[in-house]
Amino acid sequence: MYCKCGKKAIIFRRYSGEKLCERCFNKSMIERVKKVIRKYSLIEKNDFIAAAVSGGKDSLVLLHILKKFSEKYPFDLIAVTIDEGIKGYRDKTIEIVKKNCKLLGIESKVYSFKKELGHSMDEIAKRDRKLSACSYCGVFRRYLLNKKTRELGCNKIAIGHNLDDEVQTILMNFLRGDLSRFGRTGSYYIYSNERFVPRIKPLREIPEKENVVYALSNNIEVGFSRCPYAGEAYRNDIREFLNKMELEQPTTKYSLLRSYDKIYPLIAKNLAKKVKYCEKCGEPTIGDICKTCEFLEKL
Amino acid sequence: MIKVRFLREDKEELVEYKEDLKIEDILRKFGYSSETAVVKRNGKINTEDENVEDNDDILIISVGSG
Repeated sequence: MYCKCGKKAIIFRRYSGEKLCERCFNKSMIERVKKVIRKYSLIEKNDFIAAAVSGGKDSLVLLHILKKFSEKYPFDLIAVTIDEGIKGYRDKTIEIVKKNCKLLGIESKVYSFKKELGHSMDEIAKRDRKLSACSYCGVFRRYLLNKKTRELGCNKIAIGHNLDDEVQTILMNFLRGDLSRFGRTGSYYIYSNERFVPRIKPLREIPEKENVVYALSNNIEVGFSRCPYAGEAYRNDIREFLNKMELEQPTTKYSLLRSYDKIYPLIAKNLAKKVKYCEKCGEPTIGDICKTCEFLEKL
Repeated sequence: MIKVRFLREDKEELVEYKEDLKIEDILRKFGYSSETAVVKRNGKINTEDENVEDNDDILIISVGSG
């Protein structure tokens, strides 16, 4: 299989019919991310962007691409990592993050569950609890990311959500009837709040597989290990279903994303709940008490 | 024989070589598809339609999450 330039292809995009060599693929990746940033004005002059970097392929590919852009456009970049306290997993990926940041000349900040909230994920996982480990982890991670990046003075958080993450989330929320969350998966925010740092998702139109190919072809050191507590069964089922559909009918994932993006402006204002402040900690929440305070009380 | 290594799973398998065996056949044999894995053949990223040769070293990188 050969690229249109005549070189050997390293990837075949079934959804578009393109066969791309390493050079054309890398060029195309950068162009597509740029297009998403422009389309939704995700990055503006003098932004101070915190890249949420876990050490996995998506966040590190995002960091490398943003660094490339920051050399041309006037915005500042910092890497922020949340250490959930998962021995043998997160400690290894934090080392990978540090190596990448050193290589790119980006400042790196690490905040831990244990130090900031009093409990590591290893401790939480051992407890007798009603909710999955992922439920605690997701709530605490989002809470710390927002709080710490705001304290750093960042005005945006860039996260490495890819096309697969986006369409899985859209479908999951729709099937569960969680319309409040369904109205929050768009590429921009309807409501702004001074204590809420908006998240941007420059990779939301890049398939997960292409992030892996980009990391490999650019020799980006990424962590490929799996979280020992991962196992969100429902998401895994949705992922399998979408991958099966994409094989049978390429463009399924893009069609779903495009449909969602078309209805997003119509549903977001009606479905997204207004942001308030937690009565206990003062952090932004949609309830009276934020999920972090609620969970911490139960632990 | 073809050596098949799995990066995320940290394991290795041997597959008997057959004429016209393609990378996609190997992926299918282990429950993967072009949507769920990237393949390096003898150290280079390859498309799934390519034939493999005897004594090839195949590395399967599960796309997974993370």
